[in-house]
Amino acid sequence: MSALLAVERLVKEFRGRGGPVRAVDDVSLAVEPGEVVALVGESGCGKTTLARLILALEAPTSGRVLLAGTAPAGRKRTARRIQLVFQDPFGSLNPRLSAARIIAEPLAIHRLGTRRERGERVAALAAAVGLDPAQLGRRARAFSGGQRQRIAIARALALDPEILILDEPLSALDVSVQAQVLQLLLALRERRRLTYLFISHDLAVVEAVATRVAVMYAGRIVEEASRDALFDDPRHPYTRLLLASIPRLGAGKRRHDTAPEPPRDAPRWTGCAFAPRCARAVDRCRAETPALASVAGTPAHRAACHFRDEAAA
Amino acid sequence: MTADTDQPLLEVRGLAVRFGALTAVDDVSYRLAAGRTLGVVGESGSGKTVSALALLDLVPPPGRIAAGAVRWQGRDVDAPARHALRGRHVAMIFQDPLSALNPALTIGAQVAESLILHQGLAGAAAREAALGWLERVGLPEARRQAAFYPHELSGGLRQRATIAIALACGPAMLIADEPTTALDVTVQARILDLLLDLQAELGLALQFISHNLAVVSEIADDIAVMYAGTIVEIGPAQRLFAAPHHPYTRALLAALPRPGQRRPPEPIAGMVPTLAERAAGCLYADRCPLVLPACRLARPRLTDIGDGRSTACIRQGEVAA
Amino acid sequence: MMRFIARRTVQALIVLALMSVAIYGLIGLMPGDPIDEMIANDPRLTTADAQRLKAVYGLDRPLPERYLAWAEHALAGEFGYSRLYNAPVLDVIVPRLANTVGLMTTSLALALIVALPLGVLAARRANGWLDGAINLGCFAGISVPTFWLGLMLMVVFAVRLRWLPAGGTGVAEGGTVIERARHLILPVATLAVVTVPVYTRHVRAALIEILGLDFVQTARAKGASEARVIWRHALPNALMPVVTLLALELGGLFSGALVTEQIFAWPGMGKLIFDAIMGNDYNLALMALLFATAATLVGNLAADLAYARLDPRVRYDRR
Repeated sequence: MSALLAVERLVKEFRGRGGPVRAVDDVSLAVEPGEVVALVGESGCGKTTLARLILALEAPTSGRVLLAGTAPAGRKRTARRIQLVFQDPFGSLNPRLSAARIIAEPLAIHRLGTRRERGERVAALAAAVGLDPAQLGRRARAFSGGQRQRIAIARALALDPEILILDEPLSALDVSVQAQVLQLLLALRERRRLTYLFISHDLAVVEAVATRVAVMYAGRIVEEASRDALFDDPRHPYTRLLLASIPRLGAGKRRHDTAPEPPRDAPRWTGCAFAPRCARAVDRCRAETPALASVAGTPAHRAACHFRDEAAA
Repeated sequence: MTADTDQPLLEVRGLAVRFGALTAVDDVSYRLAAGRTLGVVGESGSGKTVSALALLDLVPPPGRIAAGAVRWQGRDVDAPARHALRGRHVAMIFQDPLSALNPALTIGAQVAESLILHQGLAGAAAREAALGWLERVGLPEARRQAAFYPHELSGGLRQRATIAIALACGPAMLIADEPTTALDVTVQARILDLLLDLQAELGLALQFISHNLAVVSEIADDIAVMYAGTIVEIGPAQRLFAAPHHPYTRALLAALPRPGQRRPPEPIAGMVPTLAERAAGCLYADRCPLVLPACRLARPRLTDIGDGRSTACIRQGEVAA
Repeated sequence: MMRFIARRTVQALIVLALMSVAIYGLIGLMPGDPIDEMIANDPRLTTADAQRLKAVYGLDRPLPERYLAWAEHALAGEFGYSRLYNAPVLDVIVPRLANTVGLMTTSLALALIVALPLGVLAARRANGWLDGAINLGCFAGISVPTFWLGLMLMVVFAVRLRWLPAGGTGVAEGGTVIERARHLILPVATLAVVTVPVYTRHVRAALIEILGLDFVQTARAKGASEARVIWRHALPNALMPVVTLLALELGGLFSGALVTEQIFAWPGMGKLIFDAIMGNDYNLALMALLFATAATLVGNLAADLAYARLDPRVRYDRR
């Protein structure tokens, strides 16, 4: 097994009003070293829960997470190898702590190095993410959003992990700062041979940086393909809807359709969860849940749709 | 700006807002005609929200309007009188519908309040009319959902409710401050369509504020680009994107990931100067690839460069090279 | 919701039962009993008499047995006899309770009527001079010792100026509404001086926080007047802390204010409880304290229900 990170048939069930709800419903994913795998989906699709399961912050109802072929023992061990950068740079850092303490904290928790060694490491990390080492004594709240995100990245790198999970790392940032942080992330990946699991709802960013993309809907992966294959030839109606919804510069005033989106607590369908919103849906879709299977001719491109072999009109 | 033969609905000249000794917004001027959309684009610290709030005298203290003339429907409206524009003439919706709605009132009651305040309705008549508005903004089960509290609706429906609340006041103009930023991308697309529909139906003037250029480009006729509290460029949307005449606009366009462009976008070095750091001269000087010593001497004013466009850069002709 | 109320009622009954055990035990652990007091007051009582009396009253039996006997009677609706007052316990408690409830409710109502607008004013002009003045007033009010204030008010208004009576409820003077009102003024004023600041500060703090929230901006943007924004939108959302306080106060509504009652000779629960405990009058003390406990429990439940009413996001029947 060459996969660095493998998720096998993960399920996470919660008790909701009116029965169990599957936030993550039979998800399998493999991430090879050096990839940037983007996990795309809208709110409620389960991508954050999936991230939490991978990080062992939650225990799965069934299924397992494998790191380089073996199941890691517990959260602390997992933390040495996979780290998380959160979405909200304002909420994810303790505003009262200094930047230096925040970055050093993982080292302190895992009891790595002497104080001096930690100090040196913190300075090195700060330099690597483009922070001025002289500023590290300031409290987190004195920094701007982009700088805070850099602190968060430095903290994530403190334990020298192999994999970084980035949960919407750019969403709360200004456009120009997004570009800066993105550039930093890609440079770090090169230099430290990192593998990224990049969670985002912003398809424009995903198109720019991902090597492979997995689209999630209602707790399942509905399409998985290389970046180019997904954007050039989407095979799942939800992916097509997402791509059509991305605002495009220079196209002038555009029209979509005005009917409101269905409520989140729609009755649970047997069959495809996207059927209620799908223009293409037929009876078979409501009766039979489509499996995530390869598109004819391209085994690496998989879609959970009965019509996966039809290219976009 | 807009090539309008009739009088523009709104004319703003030289708006300035200060917080104590610091200037948050300076020399902001623009025009908006009925049925047209002005997109205001800027990052944090650009003053795009504060200048909109200033229009309605909503700037929270210690902010105060330091200068500026506002003409509404041809008549001058001085600072204290702008209070009266609220709701009845100019309505405003905000970014996060969950926090922008009163959690203790049903959405039906909140729409009805607009009608009670501005349309002279009361009691059952107000409630019925409120239902009408909720249907018009696309709530699928308006009668049932009017009794819901804001937290019981999804994000998209909540934002539709805030639009209903704003439009029920009967305004001629709507200011939308980042109305889709907190929403999923598929929901965002539908809300934009809703706004366009309602605009066509009601002849609304729309001021659409956002940090997302792409979203703005789908809805705006004209675009004003703001940076560090002032408008650096303003003009018809498509021409602005095709050939920017301010270095910041150009850099902003380059910093956006574009569909089909499968590589990371070009960042802009440096950061927006904070309120306290705003020196004399052009505020973009420290980050500008075309900077000259002359740029730091005096703040470039927004100058008309023909073709309906204005820009605040002394080297504007060389930008779209 | 009904399940929630049912659950809380059951919990309340359990708490009351436990409280009765605790109170009975604590009073029992105090040295001395009514018979010892009688001996102290009347030297002609012999030891034999004392023992006979103790047997009659059941005071020679062990504490747990006495408690169970009490409990048995209490559940049947007989709450016993007050030794101190030589009357059934309920006959003693009820009129005092009425007096106390009258006094406390009036002062609470007055306090709220004053504190709400004051808190709103302080919040609207937060950090200004008016806010500073109101805050200063609040600190002064909380710092003043009740007994000193009561005495001072009495000296000024009852003794020097002779405008108001010095004590009593007004029943002795005819019991008319006017007489009762005149007798209420000084004790209510004394209590209010301490209560108003607390509520004012809470209203102010809650309101300042609410006024910073987005939906207040929306209400203003709609063109609502500032008064409407405050009273219709902001204040209802700011009442939660006030409700909490009121709930805690409810116990006090029934147990009275000892010092004030003492100074103004107000025959209320405060003095009653004190006397009953000191006099080792089990039945009376127990019932009076249990009333107070029950009031607190009811107050807490009422507060929780009020939260659900005030803030629709509060739900008690999840899962």
